[in-house]
Formats: sequence, C-alpha cells, structure tokens
Amino acid sequence: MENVEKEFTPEESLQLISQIITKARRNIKIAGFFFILWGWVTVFAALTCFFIIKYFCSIHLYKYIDLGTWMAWLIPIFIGCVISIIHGNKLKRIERAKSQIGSIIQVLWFSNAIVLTLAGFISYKLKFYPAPLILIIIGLSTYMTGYIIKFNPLKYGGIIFWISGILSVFILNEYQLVLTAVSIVLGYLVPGYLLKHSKD
Amino acid sequence: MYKDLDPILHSQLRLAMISMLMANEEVDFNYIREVTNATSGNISVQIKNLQEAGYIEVRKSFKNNYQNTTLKITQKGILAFEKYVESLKQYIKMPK
Repeated sequence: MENVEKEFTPEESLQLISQIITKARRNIKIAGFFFILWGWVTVFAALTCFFIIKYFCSIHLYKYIDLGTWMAWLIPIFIGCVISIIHGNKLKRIERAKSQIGSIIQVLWFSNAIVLTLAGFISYKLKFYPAPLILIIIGLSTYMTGYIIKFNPLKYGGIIFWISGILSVFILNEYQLVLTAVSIVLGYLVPGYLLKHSKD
Repeated sequence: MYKDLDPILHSQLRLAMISMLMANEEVDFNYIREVTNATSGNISVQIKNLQEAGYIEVRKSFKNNYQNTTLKITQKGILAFEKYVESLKQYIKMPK
C-alpha cells in the first residue's frame, strides 16, 4: 500500500473496504478467553453446589438456601471477576484498535451480569432455585454474541441453554445443577474453545 | 476518471485507514502500520490529509511510556465514507 495515489477501480475499493472490516472482526477471537474462563468458573460452581447438597445435607433443593451453597457460587464468581479484570486491563494495554463489535459484546455481557444478579435476588426472595431463569438469560446473551460476531457455534450454544432452561423446570432436585453444568460445557466451553482456535 | 468519487477517500491507504475507523471506535498508529504495511512517513502524511479534510480526529498520548497516536473518525468522515460507498455502488451498477 505504498503507492498512495495509484488509481484503482470501484471494485478494488469495495474489496479493500471488505478486507479491512473482516480484519477488525477477527480481533474478536480474544473473547474466547472469557467464554472459557466463565465456562470453567460456572461448571466448577454448579458441581460444587451439587456435591454440597447431595452429600452434606438432606433438605430439598428448593428449601435449601444456606451459606454453603451460596459460597459455592460466590467464591468462584469472585475469583472469575478478579481474573477478568486483570486480563481485561492487560488486553487494554496492548490493544491497538478498539472494535465497535467488541464494545457492544462487552456491554451485552455487563447487562447480562446485572440481570443475572437481579434474577438471583428475585429467586432468593421468592424462594425458588434460579437455574431455569439463569439458563435462558445466558442463552440470550450467548445467542446474540454468536449473531453479532457471525459465529454459529455460539448461536447453537444459546439454543442449548434455552432447551436446558425448559428441561430444568422438570428437574426439581439437585440434578438441575448437573444439567446446568452440562449445558455450560456444551453451550459455553465448546464454542469458547472453537472460537479461541478458529482461523477467522 | 471516477470524478464523482471523493478524491480524499479514493486512495488505497486513506481508504484503508477510513475503513479501519469505520469498523473500530479508535485505532492506533501502529495498528494501521501493521494492517497496511505502509511506512510511518506515508501514514503520517495521510493522517494529515484526512485531518485537514475534517474526516478524522487525532489524539496524542502516552501508552506504556511510549508516545501513542490514536485516530477516531468524525461525523463528517462517516458521511463522506457512506457517500463514497454509495458512489462506488453506482459505478459498479453502470454498464461497462
């Protein structure tokens, strides 16, 4: 691109615009890290919570809202937040182009975190386990991310979360947590690894 | 040739730069150099041309103790790019 004033055709111009915009989209691969991180954080939390309920208490899941099960979620989420902030700041330091798509996805997942917190609070007050709500909310953000970055595995991931959300309504015991963990592996971790290792 | 096309944008390097700014909120000087393989001198000249046309905003700051030039497209730049793409479409539709 050294010959600045070289005459080029409208077709070549459009091709150049398309190439540059595609390159900006490729930068989104770094989002794979966050899917993998939060995938493992939530799988670990769901399974820890499952083992606590299964082996350390005999009370029905929907009546069992105590410190142990809350900590099973809150500690991994706190660690996930710390790693996300450290990694996010590191990316910010080396970032050379701030993509609009990246900002939209960031806002989408930030809103997702707020809605999940509210759903957690509502379920706590109304005494029901939040898994079905959480699954369909994560499904929405996962599907939208897939749509925005044009990455089909994430769209399928979103659909898996919606199906799991419906299924979890019919599993009224601690196995709801196993279903949550499985849907996170399929809907979040698998697309996350595929995104990280994708060529485009 | 192609007299309806904005001469500021109808140049490979300037068009590449404006396209990058359409796809990104902000772009660093080094990113432009990496994507276009153009020389720093050449990029600096084109930044000046685009800035004089009012198509971009330039901000100089320090990042990791190094001077960093960041570019951002202006509203005038966005309109010029959209008009340029529309003109391109007209040319492509025209029988040769």
